[in-house]
Amino acid sequence: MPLILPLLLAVVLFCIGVYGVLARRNVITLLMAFELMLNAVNLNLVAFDAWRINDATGQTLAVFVITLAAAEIGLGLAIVLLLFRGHGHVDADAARDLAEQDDAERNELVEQEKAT
Amino acid sequence: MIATAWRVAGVGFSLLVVLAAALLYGVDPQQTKAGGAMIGEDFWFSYEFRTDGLTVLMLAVVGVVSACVQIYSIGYVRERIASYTALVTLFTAAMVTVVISDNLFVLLIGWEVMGACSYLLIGHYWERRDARAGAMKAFLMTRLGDVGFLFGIFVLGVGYHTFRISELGSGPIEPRTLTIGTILLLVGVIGKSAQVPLQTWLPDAMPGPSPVSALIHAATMVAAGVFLIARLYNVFVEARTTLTVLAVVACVTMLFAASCAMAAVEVKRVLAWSTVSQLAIMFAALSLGTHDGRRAALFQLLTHAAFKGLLFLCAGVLLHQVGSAAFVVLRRYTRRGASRKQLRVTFVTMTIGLAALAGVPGFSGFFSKDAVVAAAWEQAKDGSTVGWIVLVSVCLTAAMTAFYCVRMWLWVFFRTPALAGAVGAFEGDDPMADLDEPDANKLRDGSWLMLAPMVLLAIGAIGLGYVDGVHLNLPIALVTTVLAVLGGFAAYSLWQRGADPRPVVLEREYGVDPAYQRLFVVPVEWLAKLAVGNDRDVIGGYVRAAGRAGVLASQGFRKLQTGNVQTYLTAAVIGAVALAILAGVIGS
Repeated sequence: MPLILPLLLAVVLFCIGVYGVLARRNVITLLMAFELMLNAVNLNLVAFDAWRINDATGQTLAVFVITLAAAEIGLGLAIVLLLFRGHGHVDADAARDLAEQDDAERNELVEQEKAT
Repeated sequence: MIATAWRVAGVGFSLLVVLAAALLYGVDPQQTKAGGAMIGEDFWFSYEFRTDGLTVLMLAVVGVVSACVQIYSIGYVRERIASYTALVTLFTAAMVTVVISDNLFVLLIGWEVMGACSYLLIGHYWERRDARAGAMKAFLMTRLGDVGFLFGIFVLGVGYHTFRISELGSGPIEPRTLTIGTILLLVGVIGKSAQVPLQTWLPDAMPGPSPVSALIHAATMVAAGVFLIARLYNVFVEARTTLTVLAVVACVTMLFAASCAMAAVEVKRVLAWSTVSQLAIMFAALSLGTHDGRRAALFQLLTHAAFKGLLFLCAGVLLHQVGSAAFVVLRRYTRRGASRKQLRVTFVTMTIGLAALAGVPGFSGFFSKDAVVAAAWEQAKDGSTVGWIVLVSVCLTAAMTAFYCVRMWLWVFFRTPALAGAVGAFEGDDPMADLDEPDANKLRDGSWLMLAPMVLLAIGAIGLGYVDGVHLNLPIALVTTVLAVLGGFAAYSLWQRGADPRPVVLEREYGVDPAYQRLFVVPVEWLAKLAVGNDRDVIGGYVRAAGRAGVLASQGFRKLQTGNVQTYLTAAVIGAVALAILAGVIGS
């Protein structure tokens, strides 16, 4: 099989992943897009291994990446769960707690806290 | 507890100094070197000490007076005892350092420590504004003189290629260098001993505790100037110009200070001006440049230490009992001689002290003043101008001294026959004063701790006149006695008529302080304001501009921090893509 086909597929997958990360607002969708990007890399690893080296190092690395991806998605979903519990939504645009705040915004926050 | 420990240490140290003087009496002059540091190859700084007649004399004076002051202070000082006693002890130790050192730099250390101690002690009652101001003034004025002193040490030391006092005066030196060096030293001496034109700090130092005044005026601080010239006498004798300057300064000072004392209306201020005047007599004697002159000056120093210390201790009792040393207040206690009867010991000892100061025949001040006059006459006989100036000034001062002594004695202790009111001529002094008759029965002579030093010093004020043997020059004794009687009689007749004419110019002390205010203080304040303005508006402007620029820039940059992860990621992806494209362009 020519190398170009899996590479093209990987590029397509990666671009979809990038698009998903940049454009979607739902955090779970973001995680899924990350997975797409990771799997695009995995595909690259396997493809190059089969094409030139052929001693399974690339495939081994891919297995590692899958494992890491599993851990990462677990952590990510836990954060998402906390986000949902704390804020009642999973909207990436709305989760701006770490942003530099204007004085007016800060005062609003303080007043909100007082109100609660 | 700690106060008691300090008191024991203070009295013990003073007694040690007396003991050292007693042990060193009659020992051959010698120098001891106790290590030191080389600086370069030619000059060195080393701890060198010497013992000779002058050292022993000064040690005895310092030891006895400081012991008296320390014991007296036990009964006098009631607050901040530990620091007070420690400082008095340090003061004494500094004077001892000055007296025994054989190296100009070691002497300078003692000299400067004394300045610092006098500042701290004059400001002992630091709650009072006048005490703080007086302390600051004393410090600044003596400091001004000390700058000259330091450079004088440099000039003389480099000129003679040594800083050892015992080696100064021997060896070749350019006359110009010698004159400049001694004049610079003289500036320091004038500052320390409160001579014209640096005289105003001493009267303003009076808010300090009375025992401290006694110590400063009798044994340490101001006597250090006289001591220094006596110590370096062979150097000063070579520099005739300096001695002439010294004579002029001394003569102007003694008349100036005596006339100020004639118009002062506070016991301690009268005493302070009289100290300035008496020190000037010592300097005048030194300025004669003869062996007799030096001897007379030291004799005067010795007797002055006794009677001036005594007078300040007496003034301390008055302050302690009455609460003020102003004539107007003290006069309220004169009804039926109340203050005389209630404060018997103080009255008697103060009378002895004033008699010695006024030069009443038989008291020590009479003999020492006559010694000065005799030394001046020896010079004047040979047609020396300096001798004549000194002779006339000292005689005039003797009359003025008698005037202010008698004036103070009468006004403070006796009710004026001609006046019904107690306050008399001093009514205008203190409009706030309570003019009612106070309860004089509360006056007490104080504890024996305070009286014993006074009695001891009173014995000294009489007996010290005879220690040198009686060298009475009858015509001179007659002249000075007549002058003193004239001065005293003038004061008596004025007092009897209930009049105390005080010329405005004397009351304002010749307007020296306001003149200094205009000449120095105001310009310095202007300079200070200029410096502050420069710092605040010019240098501060740059600092504030830098800060504002930073704030403005940060306000721009903070817009980037949206807090939105996707914005950051977009920036990162765009950056990565841009870098990749750039790499491709460069690579191809």
